[in-house]
Amino acid sequence: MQITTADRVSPETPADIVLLPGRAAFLPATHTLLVADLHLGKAATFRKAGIPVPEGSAQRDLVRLERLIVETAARRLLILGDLFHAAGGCTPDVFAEFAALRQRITSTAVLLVIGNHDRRIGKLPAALGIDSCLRTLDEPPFHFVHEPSTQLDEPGRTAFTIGGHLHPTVSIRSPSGDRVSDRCFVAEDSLLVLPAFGSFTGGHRISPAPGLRLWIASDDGVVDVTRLAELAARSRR
Amino acid sequence: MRTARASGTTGFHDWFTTRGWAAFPFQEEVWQACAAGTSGLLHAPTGTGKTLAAWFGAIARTQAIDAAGSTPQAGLRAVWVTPLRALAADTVRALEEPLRGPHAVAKGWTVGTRTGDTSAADRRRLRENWPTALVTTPESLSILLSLDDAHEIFAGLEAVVVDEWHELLSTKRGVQTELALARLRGLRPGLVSWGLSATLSNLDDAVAALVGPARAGEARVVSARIPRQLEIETLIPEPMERFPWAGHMGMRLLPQVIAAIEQAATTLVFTNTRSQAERWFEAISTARPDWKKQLALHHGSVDRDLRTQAEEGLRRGRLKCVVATSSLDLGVDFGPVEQVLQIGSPKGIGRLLQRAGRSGHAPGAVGRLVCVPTHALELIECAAARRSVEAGIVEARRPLTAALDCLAQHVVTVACSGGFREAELRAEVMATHAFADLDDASWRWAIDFAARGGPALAAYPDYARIVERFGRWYVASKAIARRHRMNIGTIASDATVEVKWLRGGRLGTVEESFVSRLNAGDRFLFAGKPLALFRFDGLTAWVKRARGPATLQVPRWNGGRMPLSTLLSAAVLELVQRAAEPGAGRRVPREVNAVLPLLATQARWSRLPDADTLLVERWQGRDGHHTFVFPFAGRLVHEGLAALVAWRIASRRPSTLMLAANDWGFEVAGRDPLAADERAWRQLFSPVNLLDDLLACLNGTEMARRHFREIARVAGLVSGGRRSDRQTQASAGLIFDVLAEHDAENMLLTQARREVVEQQFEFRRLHEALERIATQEIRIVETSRLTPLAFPIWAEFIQSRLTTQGWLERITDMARELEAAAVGPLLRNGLPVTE
Repeated sequence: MQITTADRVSPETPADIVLLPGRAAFLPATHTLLVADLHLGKAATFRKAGIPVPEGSAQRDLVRLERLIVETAARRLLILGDLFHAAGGCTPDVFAEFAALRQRITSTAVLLVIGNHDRRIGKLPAALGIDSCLRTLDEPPFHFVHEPSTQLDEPGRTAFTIGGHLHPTVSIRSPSGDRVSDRCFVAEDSLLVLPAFGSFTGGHRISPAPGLRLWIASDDGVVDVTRLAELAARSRR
Repeated sequence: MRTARASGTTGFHDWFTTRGWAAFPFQEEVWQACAAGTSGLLHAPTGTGKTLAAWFGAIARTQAIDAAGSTPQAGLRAVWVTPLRALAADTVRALEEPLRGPHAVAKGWTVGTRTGDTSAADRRRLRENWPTALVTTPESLSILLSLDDAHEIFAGLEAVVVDEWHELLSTKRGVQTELALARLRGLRPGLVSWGLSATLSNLDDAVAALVGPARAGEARVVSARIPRQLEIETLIPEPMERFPWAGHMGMRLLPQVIAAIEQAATTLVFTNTRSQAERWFEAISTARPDWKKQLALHHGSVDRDLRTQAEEGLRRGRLKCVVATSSLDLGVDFGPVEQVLQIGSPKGIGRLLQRAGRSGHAPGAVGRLVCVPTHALELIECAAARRSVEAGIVEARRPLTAALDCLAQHVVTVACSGGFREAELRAEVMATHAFADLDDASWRWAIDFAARGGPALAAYPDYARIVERFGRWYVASKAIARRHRMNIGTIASDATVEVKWLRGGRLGTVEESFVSRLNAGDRFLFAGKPLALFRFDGLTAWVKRARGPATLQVPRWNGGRMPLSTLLSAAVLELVQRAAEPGAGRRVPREVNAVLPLLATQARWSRLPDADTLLVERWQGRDGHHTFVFPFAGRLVHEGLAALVAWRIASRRPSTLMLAANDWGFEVAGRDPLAADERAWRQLFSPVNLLDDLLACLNGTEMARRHFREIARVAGLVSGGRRSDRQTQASAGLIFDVLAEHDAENMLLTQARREVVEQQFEFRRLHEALERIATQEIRIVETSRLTPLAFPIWAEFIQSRLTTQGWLERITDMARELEAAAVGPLLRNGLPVTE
């Protein structure tokens, strides 16, 4: 499976998967834009519990998403789970903002692979305009899930799995003491995990290991740091 | 008998007489003042009878009120605030003692306790039948004040005693206590309040914070002039020539420590950190297996049952030695303790006194403390501390002001218990020392924050914690009130993980960040036991006993390191300076005499700092360019100075700089060399624009973000570590980022920055340090190796970073650096790197 990074998608990009700035991936063969773990309405969930957190991050995330759809001219948007955070945060405003985005991107199909957070919310209103909600999606050579098996090298897995759920982050430290931490894409032989797209989400630190590929995924760039992370881990020993 | 008691303190003297004691004049003074309705502060060394002074005072006040009225009140009459819930049980015991027997000082009085440890069943029982006196913590007192019927609970309250007031004074919990006292005075205007304190140099501040500035004039300050004899000495390693040049002694003094423990019946060994306590406990028990049953370990992360066992053992004289951290600084004295060993520098004169005071409480005994340096330079700190105690000098502790997070919390607390009128609550709050200067904007913000979450949440009318009805503010819902009570005053701490035996039984807690780095089978030292991790399931680390010899990791706990006090820093610098004088050997204290060879090396390779010169050392290591500066202003000030200097460099040229500091100086390191001439350094240390530059430099570091954790918790932005409500779990760092981006004017962010500058960097001290530097000559020395003074700072490792570069640029720089570093060692092993 050929994974590459690009600042923007062009039809000639010779790769199966293109990792984009802004924590999204693109599949040229099917013109599909992939994102995972938006956790919309998380701030509203907090407010409902009496914790004063402003909503700004979700609005900004939706603006970023719309820009990505427009820039890539994606025919499909495939959300790999945890589109919404919790039932308590699914206020009319939160749904309305997503529905408004949906109405502006009429030429794009929207598919949702149900995540553990979505599942607890129950049935989503039709007004959101999600074309289909799926448990998993099989489109050889790809297998899309929300929560990839924790057994990364699960024996017998044939299709290349793409998922989310993990909210992976990486931290790199140089001998002189500088340290950069951010969200990341992480890949193995037959697995790619996307970083959480939502800004108001936590992370899970991935330690570099042989066979693991890592890309720092920031709002404004994406960089392969596999070798860097490896060197950094080695220099610490 | 009855008339005698009602008329005053005769009954108290009777009780003393039956014990064969006589009351001290200071005790009588406190009783009389209390009975007359006067509040105040009692300061005295530990173990001199402060408790009985205040306790009988509270009883005398209540009896005087009852004697004047027609019917004696029932219910809660006195509240006893203790800073540590672990002390509550001991305090109850001490207060109950004079209530028993034929000579009981008060008839029908009961003592109860309400702390974070009190079970739900016991809390219910309390609410049905309040004791006459309640022992509680500042947090639990705030919770009581948030109950619907707070005004009924405290309707008969006559006296409040705040124990160990000096411990609370300069903390957020002190502010919380001030607000609670103000609320109690609002409910009971005639309330008498007394603080008990160890010796401080700023007793005026301590009184003002306790009773409020307006009443400070009428308050009484009572000093117990009881000479406590203390012997303080320092263990000096011999022979000194075998000192490692870098000065690290580690456990070199273990044999002398063992010998010292041997010759006393009971010894308390104090360390400065929990990790150090684990290591020393392990070392002592390995060296003396025959003491196995007589040794115990005591620190804040060890399970409560194990700690209680250690305390019981100490009290009964069953233990030979207990290794402890500040967890045993306070509390009822352990009679059998003959001596105290202080591992590492005491860092403060007050702390040395406090710890020394834990020994020698047997009749006729003398308090005895032995300093055990772990580093050559600590010998100088020990000498400075010892001499300051001998000279009768002690530090001040400043009460905090304008802690808006505490105010935001308090507003909701009061709203929970029957609501408030704005003008009334504001007047009440402004009667405290902490909020005496509260301006309109801050008050409005606190109300607005509680009501609507601040300006950024104006668009969300559904959000509200308090609501206004007919001119009074009430809590918005029962659910909000419940959540608020759960969160009140939880002390900020990192996510912790419980450590349990696989076969059952708790050992205590370690920080999640430590456990998550371990793999199954990894060995570590905790609660004084070698452990092997069996499984970590996210909430609990299941462990087995580790077998066989192997190196053990020791958990690190964040926080809790005290900086060297200003007074001690000055005393240290003076000793260093005297060491440079000719013929110093005979004229400096023994401790300093022992490190003269090391100081001579420093003088040879660089120079010795003195009061008139600021020493700057430049050294190029393999990992970059290092600059060490030695202002002798304490670790926190040095962290601030390092950040300031780094910011002033990096704001001119985009760069990433690494910072480290200890109590003697600080280090700024980077990939490029730093300024080499005196004029440039003069500018870097300029006091001009200081506050602006400090606030600006926080943007380049993680410091404000890190500090926000405690504020977020007090203000109710993150919940207090309960895992049940997973959907509202977010790190304070994440919330900081969201606020910084979408609510940049949020006053809690402002407060986080202000607190870093004022408390973390000790702004006042920092400013003084810069003013002193302005009068000093700056001497820049190029060194070809790390000097004895620089090495300990270098060995502290990087404490923070300051960057004015984008992440991509930093990644590129790191790649270059890592590739270069990789080439060296790999080539040496004959494995050239291929791309």
